[in-house]
Amino acid sequence: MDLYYDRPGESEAFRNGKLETQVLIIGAGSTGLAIARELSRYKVDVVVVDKHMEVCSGEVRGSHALIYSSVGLSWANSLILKSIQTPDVPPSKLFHRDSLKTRLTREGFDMFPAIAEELDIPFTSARRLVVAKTEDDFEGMKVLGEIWKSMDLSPEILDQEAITALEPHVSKEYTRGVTQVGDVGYCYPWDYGIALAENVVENGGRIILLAEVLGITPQNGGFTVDTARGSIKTRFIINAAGPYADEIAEMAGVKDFGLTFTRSQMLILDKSVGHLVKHVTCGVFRPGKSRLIRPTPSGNIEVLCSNYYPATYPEETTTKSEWLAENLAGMTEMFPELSKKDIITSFTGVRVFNTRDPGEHLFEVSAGNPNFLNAVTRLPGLAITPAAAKYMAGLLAEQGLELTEKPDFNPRRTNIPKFSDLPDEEKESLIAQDAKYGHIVCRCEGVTEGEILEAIRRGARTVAGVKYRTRAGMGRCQMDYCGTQIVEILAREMGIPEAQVLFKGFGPELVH
Amino acid sequence: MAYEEATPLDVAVIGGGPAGISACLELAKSNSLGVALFESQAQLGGMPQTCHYGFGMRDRKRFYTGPGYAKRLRSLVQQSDINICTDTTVVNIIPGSKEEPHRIKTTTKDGFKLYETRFILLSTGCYEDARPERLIPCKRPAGIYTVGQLQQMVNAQHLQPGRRALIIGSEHVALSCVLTLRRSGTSIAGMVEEDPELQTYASVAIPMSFFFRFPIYKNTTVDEVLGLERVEGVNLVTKGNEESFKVECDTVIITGKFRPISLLLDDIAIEQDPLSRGPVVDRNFMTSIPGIFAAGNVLRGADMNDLCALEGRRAAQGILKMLQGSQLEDANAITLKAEPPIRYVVPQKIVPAQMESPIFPWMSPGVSIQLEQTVRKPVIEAWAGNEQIWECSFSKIIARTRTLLPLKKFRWDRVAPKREIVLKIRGANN
Repeated sequence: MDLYYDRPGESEAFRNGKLETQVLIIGAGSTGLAIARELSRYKVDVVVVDKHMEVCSGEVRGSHALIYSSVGLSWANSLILKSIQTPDVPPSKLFHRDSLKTRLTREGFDMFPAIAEELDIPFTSARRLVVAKTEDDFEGMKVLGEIWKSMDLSPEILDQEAITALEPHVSKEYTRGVTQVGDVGYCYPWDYGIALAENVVENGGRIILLAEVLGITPQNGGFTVDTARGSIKTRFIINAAGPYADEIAEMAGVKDFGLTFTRSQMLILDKSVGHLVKHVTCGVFRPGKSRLIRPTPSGNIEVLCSNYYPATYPEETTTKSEWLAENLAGMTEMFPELSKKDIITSFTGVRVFNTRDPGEHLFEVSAGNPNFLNAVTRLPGLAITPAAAKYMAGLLAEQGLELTEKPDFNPRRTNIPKFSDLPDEEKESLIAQDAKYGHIVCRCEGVTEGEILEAIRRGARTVAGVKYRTRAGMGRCQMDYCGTQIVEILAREMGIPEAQVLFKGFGPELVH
Repeated sequence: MAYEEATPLDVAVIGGGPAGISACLELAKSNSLGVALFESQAQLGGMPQTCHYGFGMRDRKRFYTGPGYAKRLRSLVQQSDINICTDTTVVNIIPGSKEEPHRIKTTTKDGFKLYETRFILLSTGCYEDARPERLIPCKRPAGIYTVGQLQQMVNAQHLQPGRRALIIGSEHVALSCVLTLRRSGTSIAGMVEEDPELQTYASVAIPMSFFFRFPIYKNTTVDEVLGLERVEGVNLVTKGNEESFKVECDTVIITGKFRPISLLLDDIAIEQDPLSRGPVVDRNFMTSIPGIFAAGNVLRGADMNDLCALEGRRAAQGILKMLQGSQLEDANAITLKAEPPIRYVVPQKIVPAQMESPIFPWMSPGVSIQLEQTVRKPVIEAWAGNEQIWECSFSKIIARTRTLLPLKKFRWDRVAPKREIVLKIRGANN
């Protein structure tokens, strides 16, 4: 089974330990892949290794996928939480214009729409709406006002009528609100990651999957990295292993930070109620009162009304009934027309923070070894990735990596055609080209066999891989109808028995 | 339009399960009609194809196995003049008006097609709400299936889902699930029911649990499904106890909770019932849009296959009546509504004057209700505003078992036309 994107004949060299590269990126998440794409602009040898069977199998899948601007209402709103935690610091001092986080977020936010266009992924620039109803909320609103003044923001202030005009189905109890256009965006994080991966491979980068890093040996100005599939010699290592970044740093003997994790549970609601929420709507953040409801690019609704809780290890992504209850309570408080019946799935996402400075990302040349670079993002992670990638490339150049632009760099990638969204004429011509596009496999999302075959051609090897590339199984029946058909197609295309098809990554099979 | 205009149809039947096929057989009796049956799968037959014990008693007057029943229906419809379109997915319904016919769009491997049709019968069936809908706490490991997935896996693909499975829920379908699991060679770790009552016939479930040696955990809820990549066990909590206990298993089967597949109706202005989550229909199984009918499990989630067949037949008769010029809409129709724990009442619109009293109520696709859970000694009442017009006590009603309402016994003289009647269980909401 072909498990990675590579150049022909290289797997042999890899097995025999003869693979060499200039930059090795550990971790094929959105950070690692964004850096890989940035480096593939230049005449630089890049290899990305990941222990999973598919790219973007870690944190990215549980991300809440908002692209924040660093001088927006959402940013101000999230600073309120901080102002409550640090009562002695005046709110206006909380906004650090020059911090790395603010800078990268601002640059990343500005870059994102263009990148989404290049990578052909759905991206929505949205309006943020903050609503308030209790005295506590109004108090928070005042703090919010102070923060946004320090940011030179001028959002629009709303009364109850104006709120209803903007968001007709929000509870009528909300009497005050504030809104800002184009302050936030959203996409599907795995869409972004998968598109990045395809673009990296297109431009000559290599992504090796199922290659868990087992050991790192520093060697005359470089490293030998042993993975589960072979060893690689490299000059630079970029540690983008997310929740495992501390372990990777320890292997290289340069660990000078620890990691902590928080998690929160989210709900996805059915498309049939999708019209009820129009903007990214949230309450004034207070401790114990996270309220965020927004539409998704595909017309579902995402609910994050549960709090952030500590997690002890990165895979602690269990959902809990009390968090579900929290989410439900918050959801019906904000939008009384939504109900438990509309939920199609719930999931828990884990976020990573470094212990050295939990408020800041970790993008740096390691103090212990100048050829070892850390790239550990914190929240908000997705928005900064394009800017962070440029920043990391700059750090590499400072360390002596020669960055010469490749004349044939192709920034464009085309998405798998989305049959159900096409106009009738294009559907017709697609079926004429390939009859498999006439066979609908996932009926909730209208995904055709043609799309699934294309996903497999582009590297999907598991049921989850097909799901994240095509949306098959993400609809209201959650694979009840199409699950077995997807397994059948995967087995047929890969030439393996159905019993060996995997659900998500390595580990036990879907069936015995 | 880029695609070719197809021949106009008289009736388009969407969904080739028992309801759709039975409707076609009824329509085929009238030779001159242009009827097309659309099925998204390669083979007609629908849900019974992967079930063990099909039914067929109500409509075909003998017992069949599931696949046998599907085969029989299939061969009957293949002998008729019906135009059968398998591997064809209907993607859109565009309702017409009095002057204009309805239209449907389909995709097949040969392309995208538009049909004009005077009547549409929707018989798309139901699906099961999977784990997320029931929101069981877990890390989303592999090894959690619905009964539909299990049956497809075992009966169609001949795969073994796991080594040891825990069944969640104890409705009728859980019993079928026990047999399917045993047939695939999977042992059973137990059956979990959150209610103190079994939701199926105890006289069948309990002997079965002795025969296949598995415990039944009543009054117990799932605390967490363990495992990251694959199910490694399930923590259960019995109500009243703080402590959870672990059941070893590598597979979890979630049973019950069926929901109509009404995707095609989402985009059109058709009256839907929030309780049954399917379209609102009248005695002839016509929806709120004249000329569009719905029958079978698309009305309310799972019921017996042969009952769906009877409903399909009744809907076809309605279509034939309309073709002969009868007016089926009645402005004076009475609307039936229900309150939980009643799951649904179907059909929702009735005209008291048109009511029949079937000799064998069991064989009639009449107005019926189902309960959400098993209730002992329920008293079912019907209210028209503040006036009670009927009540009846039962010794026990088992969850998701059909109870036909004796509408003749309702005191219709006290009900004005166009009124709403609410069905409830006495003392249920206090």
